[in-house]
Amino acid sequence: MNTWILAATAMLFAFFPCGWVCFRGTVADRIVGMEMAGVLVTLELVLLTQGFNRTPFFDLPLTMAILSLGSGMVFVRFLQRWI
Amino acid sequence: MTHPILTGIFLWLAVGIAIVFTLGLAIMRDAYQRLHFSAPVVSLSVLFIAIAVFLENSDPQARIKIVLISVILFVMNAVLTHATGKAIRVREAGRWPVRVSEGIPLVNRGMPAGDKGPDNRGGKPT
Repeated sequence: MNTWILAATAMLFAFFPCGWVCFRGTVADRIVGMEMAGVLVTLELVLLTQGFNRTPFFDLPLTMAILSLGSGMVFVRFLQRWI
Repeated sequence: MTHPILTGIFLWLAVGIAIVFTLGLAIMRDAYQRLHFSAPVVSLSVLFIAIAVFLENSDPQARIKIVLISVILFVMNAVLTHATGKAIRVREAGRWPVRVSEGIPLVNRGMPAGDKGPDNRGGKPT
């Protein structure tokens, strides 16, 4: 157990408001909540990677950052017209 | 050489900012206001975590990757936020251009001669 793991555990509490918005809001609110959750997951992966001292695992948050953007754009495109 | 106290300060600042602004996102009334709350997380939280990684980890691979992650999140979140705002506007209003009748203040950007704007009034109020 180190500071990074504790910080990662504390960061998990930030997901509850995102989940609340995703469950309770309008379609637009849910997509905003999902985008924020994507950012938080990326930060969570960084904290866990450094906490477990596995430098090669930094590829995971890097990939997550790129893919969360792509998925956000896809959902936004569908939000505009079809959802 | 690691700096545990400094690392801890930056880490907990980052976590605190993320939690506070996520709570703010949940409290806000509509999607337009909620969009703003991701900005401090991708700017301040990411910056503080990157600094903490630099203080804790001397591996150049880790440092390069955390810089890449920070830049990607910072730049692309701005793009995504604007795209989301536009999509919400188009979804709600059925169009992107603003009409004078909506009561949204318009900035006269000197439309070209003969261009009367989307509502054919040249930007003049009703």
